[in-house]
Amino acid sequence: MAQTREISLVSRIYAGGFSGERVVEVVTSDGSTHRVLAPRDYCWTLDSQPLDPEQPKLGDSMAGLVAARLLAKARDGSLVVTTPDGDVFSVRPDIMRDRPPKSEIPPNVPVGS
Amino acid sequence: MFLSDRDLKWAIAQGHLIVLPPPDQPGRIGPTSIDLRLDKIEEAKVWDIPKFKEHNRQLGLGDAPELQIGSFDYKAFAGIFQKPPRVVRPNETTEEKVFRRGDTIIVRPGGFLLWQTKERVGTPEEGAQLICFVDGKSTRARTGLVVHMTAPTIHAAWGAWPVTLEIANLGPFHFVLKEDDVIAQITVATISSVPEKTMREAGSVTSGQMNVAGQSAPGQTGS
Repeated sequence: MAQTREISLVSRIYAGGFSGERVVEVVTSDGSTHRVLAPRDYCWTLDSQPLDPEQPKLGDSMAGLVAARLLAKARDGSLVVTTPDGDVFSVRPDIMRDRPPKSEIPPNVPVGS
Repeated sequence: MFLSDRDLKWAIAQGHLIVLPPPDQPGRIGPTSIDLRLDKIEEAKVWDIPKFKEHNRQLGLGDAPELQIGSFDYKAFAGIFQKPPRVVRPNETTEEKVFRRGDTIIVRPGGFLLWQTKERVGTPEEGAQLICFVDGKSTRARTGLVVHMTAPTIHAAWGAWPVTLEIANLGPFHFVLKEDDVIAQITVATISSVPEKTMREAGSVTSGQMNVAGQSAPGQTGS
């Protein structure tokens, strides 16, 4: 079984189609932008805090972190990662961070439901 | 092989299957399925066709809401062209096929909307051994309610996501939907082995390159 490492990536986060969904832009190793879909609890602020349900507001964006897994390291130093939507792409190592802890309460679900 | 109720409970207990909140109320787990509930009403969404028409107009693509479906990128659309159904007051008439009335969503014949489930469903980040299938409920389907007619598979990827249900009314009734309604279910099956697709894709991206530990990938020259 493959063993990969839990990481997060510095990114720009937008509201998604649902309150528990975010669209995240990550800069790839060639400088282009790759768009990722991620659940809210796989996203954090730059200082590793969970996102509020309304964060960011529709039409706004914010710098933040998105969960990823490190799959491989290239000879040129770039990192091959996979994101929660299953996409695989390479990024520069300077955008990699440790992954903050995941919030325990799933989005949209009231405690005790 | 599809999991029975006994194996579904075992898979959840062992962490092979993630269902949050857990289906621990009586009746939520059937002989071979787990019921899914509609999330809060604010999670019901329709496509904002007037906004999309304006988008097309600005691009010089005409007045019709024509969508290049072959190159459609949901990630670019999400959050831009989805909106809550319009709230219609009790005495107000409307021609809309999907609208909100109080705490319910009315879906008339031909109506279509997206609505996420209260449950988040998925498999662990690594070593997924299960695959899930979203389906409607057969008795409700007889009324013309269509839930997840296409793409029912929750692939063995990572993490637990709310399931986004594509809901359509092909029947003669006006459906009244509300939070916690059970109109969908999942069945769960074992997969023959842990998928290697992700790692194979990584291999294609890193052809001739090294793995995390700096070693050449198997079968590569490492030059």
